[in-house]
Amino acid sequence: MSNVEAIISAWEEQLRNGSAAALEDFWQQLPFASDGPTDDRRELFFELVALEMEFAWKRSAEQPVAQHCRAAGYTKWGLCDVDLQARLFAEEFRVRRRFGDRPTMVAFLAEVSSLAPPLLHAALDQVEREMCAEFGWREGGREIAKPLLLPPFDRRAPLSSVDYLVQRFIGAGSSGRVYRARQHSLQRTVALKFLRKGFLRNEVLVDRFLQEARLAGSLRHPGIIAIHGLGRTPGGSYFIAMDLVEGEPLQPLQAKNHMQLRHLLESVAQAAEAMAVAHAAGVIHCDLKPANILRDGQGRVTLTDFGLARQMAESQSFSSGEGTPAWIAPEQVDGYWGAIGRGTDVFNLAATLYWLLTGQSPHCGDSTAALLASAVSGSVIAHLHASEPELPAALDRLCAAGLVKPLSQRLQSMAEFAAELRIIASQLED
Amino acid sequence: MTADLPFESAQLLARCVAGDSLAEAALFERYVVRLTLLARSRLSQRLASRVDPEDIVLSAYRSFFLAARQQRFDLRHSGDLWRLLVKITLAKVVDQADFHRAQRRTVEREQSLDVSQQVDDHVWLEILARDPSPTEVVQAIEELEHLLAALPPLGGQVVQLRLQGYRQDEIAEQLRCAERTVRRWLERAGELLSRSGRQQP
Repeated sequence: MSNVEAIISAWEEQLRNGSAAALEDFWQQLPFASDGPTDDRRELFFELVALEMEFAWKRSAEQPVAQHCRAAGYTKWGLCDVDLQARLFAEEFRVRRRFGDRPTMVAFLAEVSSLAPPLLHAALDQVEREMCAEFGWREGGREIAKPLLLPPFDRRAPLSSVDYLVQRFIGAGSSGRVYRARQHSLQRTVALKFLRKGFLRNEVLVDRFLQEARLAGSLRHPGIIAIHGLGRTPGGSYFIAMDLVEGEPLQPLQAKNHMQLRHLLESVAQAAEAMAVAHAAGVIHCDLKPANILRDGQGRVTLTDFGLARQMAESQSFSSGEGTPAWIAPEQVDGYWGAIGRGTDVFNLAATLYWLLTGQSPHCGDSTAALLASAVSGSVIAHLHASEPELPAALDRLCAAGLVKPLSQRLQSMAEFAAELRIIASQLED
Repeated sequence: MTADLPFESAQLLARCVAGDSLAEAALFERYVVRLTLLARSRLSQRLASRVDPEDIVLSAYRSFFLAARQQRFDLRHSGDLWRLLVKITLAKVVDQADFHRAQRRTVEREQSLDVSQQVDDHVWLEILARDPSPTEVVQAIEELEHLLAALPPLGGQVVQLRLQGYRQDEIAEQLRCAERTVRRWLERAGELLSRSGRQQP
């Protein structure tokens, strides 16, 4: 036995330092080369061939096709019984899977089919299972640890998510979820809005998401959320990087005193002034509502979520039910009422004001369907004074002007809406 | 027997008996961890009383059991070899009554005296669920000594690294040999262990 061991390690040594001749020559030099086949000699032969194949494939994973099927060549030596043949083929399969061209079992079987001994399939199966257990391979053939490939560079969304560390969930917008995140490069805290996973495969919705960032990004005003850019994650999802606004959505009037009321009117006026700038740039928000109007501790107001926003020129398309039911304008539900435009935002903001003052939607109903039905019905919206008679008459008139259902008769100008609110607020006594 | 066990072991045993293979693996891993801990303390006593600094074999054991202790045991790669080692050990030291009962059943079932069947499944699980006895620890050390003595240095190193849980390619790299050579020594070690189990019941 020690003799056999010595031969094997001598052969391995030669293979390692590259001085090995052909196995045939090495074999011929062995003292018992010409003896008949015995079990010991078969064992020795198997070990020598196994080592030879391992070193050959380790040296280069690209072996010429003629060098594939080494095992087949060796099986012709006459030493081989069926069992040894199967072991040699199985060893070649193992070595090629480990160090070589990594054929699948099916491909390997097809390659050697004409030469292979019977029952090779079982032997290969055994090898495959052993390797899966040893190296943590997945059954069926490839290694688990594949690095996530980055999606191809997308010029529409060039930022890298590597720059951001997502810290916590803030809230869900119309098109995705918003997270607070740390931006490493600029060492600041930002907000990231990720496109909903379900939207990823829909090009229209992806475009829309990109459009949201473009439209908001085209506006520059302290009252409008500042967009930093668009990016993609390794998973392929899109995100918008933007300012993190430390503010709360507008809340309905708690105490009905003049100071509270004036603060509220000034906040809505700020929103209207910001929207006037957006309108001047041709951007319609289409989803103005309390949740999208954030007010910070100093009373500064910021408009967010341009997820439904559109460019004035392209606003001829009508889509039904887009918006948020409690504040929706009739033309957002049904094109019969007109095309979406500046007036739509005025309606939404006036409805928001109505809700902030009364705690109720200008539309009647408890369900989405009822609210939408009320929005498109011919009924005139109840005046503010109907529920809150002590509010200034000018405020009642302004609200009514903004909540006129036919678009043509509605107040169109955000600037005018803002100016009126400022006047009413200034006339309130402390 | 089950009543004496700590709750966790009893739970695992119950799951094993019900056929849960994950529980069997967990039980086995716990047994091996304890076995190596006990073996280590025993070996350090033996080493302390020894004056011969040239005793390379023993220092190799010590380094093995030290290494085995320091890393958290994961029997994914070393499981087969450990299983064989523990089964041989148990086949030799298990409570004689239990063992003979088990053996008789096996003999009745089939004549083959394959090592893996010498300790029948139920007895095997019950033994794994409790702490290794001092006799088992001594026997395991002896088994390993016999095995390493029967192997050349390279083969011994392969076995030790394997018992510590290294993968074949890691062992090949550490010892600068072919992966086939690692597998060859592992196969040889398995044969030697099985033969040792067959020699003396």
